[in-house]
Order: sequence, then structure tokens, then C-alpha cells
Amino acid sequence: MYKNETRFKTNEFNYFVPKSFDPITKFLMKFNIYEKKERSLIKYMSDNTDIIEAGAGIGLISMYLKKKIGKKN
Amino acid sequence: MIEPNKEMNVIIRENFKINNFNENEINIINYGLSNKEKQNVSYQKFESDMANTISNETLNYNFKKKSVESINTIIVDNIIKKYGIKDFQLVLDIEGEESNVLKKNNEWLLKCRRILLENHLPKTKLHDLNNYLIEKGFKIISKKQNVFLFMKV
Repeated sequence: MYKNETRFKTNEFNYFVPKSFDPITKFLMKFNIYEKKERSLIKYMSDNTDIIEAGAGIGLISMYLKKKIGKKN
Repeated sequence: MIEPNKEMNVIIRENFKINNFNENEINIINYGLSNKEKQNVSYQKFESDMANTISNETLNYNFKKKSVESINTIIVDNIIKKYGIKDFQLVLDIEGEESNVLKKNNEWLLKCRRILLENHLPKTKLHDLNNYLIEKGFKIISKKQNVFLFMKV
């Protein structure tokens, strides 16, 4: 069952959460729903402007943002 | 990135490493984002690790409360000053604290070009906050349910 899983993936990234992570969020991760709304909007952000992200969580959106802006912070 | 839950540091770093990002480029600030800088602010933890918050707003969560910890808060202006940021984009997933951050002590909005906002507020307050940003010169360029992408017009 997904409750014991610690490795998940989206089309772009693999990611990890501890075994003790809550099952509600793991369910979303298992079916690739986790942060999906946010992920779908990142394409509309600017490539060349710094980003301040608050509420980074496990860093999944952070990786999408980092990919989007490259060397910017 | 700003994340008050220190347990997430290891996870964030591991996830960046798995995906071949340069670990030296990760900058995690272990504070909660708010409209005032305070110490020892109550940080409510829920059974869902992703719902933890400092906000007193009534959230539409059915998650059980787990524990309360103390964290320190930081404001956008001081992050901008510390890192010498001029124009920037803001991504907010702060579980009800978004109204305080965006509506109060917010001179920094002048330097903000885009805001990706997961709005956790009840419907009326959600619309109020969105309308406030529109009055401040932003427009919604895309949305998915309660997640909005604002751009400075």
C-alpha cells in the first residue's frame, strides 16, 4: 500500500518523504495529485525574475521553480 | 525558500540531491512568513504534515490537531533587504496566513511582479483578498480552483 511508500514521482521529478509522513498527503503523491494545481501554473511565471517561496514543504514546487528560473535565486 | 518546519530541511535537501540540483543553491529560511517579525509564535501542527500553520483563520480542514510548536516569523521586506532583491515573484502556500502577509505591512508589493497564491481562506475572504490584489494593480492571469496566478499590470 502507498502508506509504506517513501518514493514518489511526477513527470519531471522523483522525490522522497519519510515513512512516517502522513497517509493523506502520501495518497495525493501516489496518484500524482500533490501540488498539481500549483505545478500547472508555474509555466506562467517569469523565467528571469527572482522568486521568494513561502511554505516550501518537501520542496517539490521549489524544484519546479528552480528549473523554471535556472541560475536565478 | 521559507519553511518553518525544520523537519523539512533534510527532505528538501534530499529531494534536490535526487534530482541533480546543486545543493549549494538551496537556501532554506526556517521561519514562518507573516506581516510582523515575532519570536515564539504558536505553530499548529496537524495530522497532515502539509497543513501546519501559524494562522488563526478558520480553515476548511478536517485534519486532527497534533501538537503546537513555537517558531519565529519573518517579513518579506527583510528577506528583500537581506538578499538584495529588486523585482521578484512571490509563491505563497502558507495555510491561512496569506491575508496578513499580502494586506499588511506590504510596501514590498510595489516590487512584486507576480504572485502564485494558494488561497486557503473561506470563500468570502478568498474573494476579498483577490479583489484587494486587483485594487493594488494585479490581474489574475490563470487559476486552478483556489490557486491563482497574479501578474502586475
